[in-house]
Amino acid sequence: MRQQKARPVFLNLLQIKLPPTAIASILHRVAGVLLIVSLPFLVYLFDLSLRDNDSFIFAIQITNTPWVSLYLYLLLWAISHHFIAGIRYFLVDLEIVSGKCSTRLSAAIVVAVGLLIPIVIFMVSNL
Amino acid sequence: MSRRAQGLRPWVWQRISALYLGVFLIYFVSSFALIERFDFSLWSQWMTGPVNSIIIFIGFLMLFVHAWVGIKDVIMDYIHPVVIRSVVLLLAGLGLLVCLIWLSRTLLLALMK
Repeated sequence: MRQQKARPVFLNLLQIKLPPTAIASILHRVAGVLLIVSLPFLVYLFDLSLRDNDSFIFAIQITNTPWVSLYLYLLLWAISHHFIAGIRYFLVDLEIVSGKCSTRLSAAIVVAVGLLIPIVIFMVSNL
Repeated sequence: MSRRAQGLRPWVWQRISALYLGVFLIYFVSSFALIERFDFSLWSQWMTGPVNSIIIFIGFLMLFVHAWVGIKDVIMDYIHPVVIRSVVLLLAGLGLLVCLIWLSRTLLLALMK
């Protein structure tokens, strides 16, 4: 029992260093769950947008409210990351991306580009 | 399919649906990316086009498959007590089914206009 107590426990989340592959993988999951949880709201917007012109404009107005807009940019990140990370998984499955160096580098690129897409879209749409 | 390959079928479906949804996403984004004036008639015409509506409907089915396999894996990884796990799986599946029916109904109503 004493030996078990002496077992070193290291769970400081701020100090555990995850490799980029792990970060990309976790974010792929987080993004997927976020998109699924948001699905009812997105389906509601889709429903509004196809009813008639007034509902379409109403749907656009909803998306333009500050908090919803912010949330939709978060979802934009989620779909961007999920999409690019998905392409990376195909490349890994096909062994186009293999070896420690290129799997790590590609994962870092996935995380970076996933973040960059919503930022670029935000900047372009607010020119 | 043999018992040993039981986990293979969802894995294959996840890839097939991912491929379909990925190609669809590129098609969807490229259809609207360079549009100057985005309005209701443009949007509804795109959604109800004879070829597009079929592509979109298959997309709904693929989204349902992809979301189900994905969320099922996540739930099975994090929720272990059998009863809670079954209930959460059931609720997730029903929720996704409602979304699939809602999406299909929306598209059908738009097509009948």
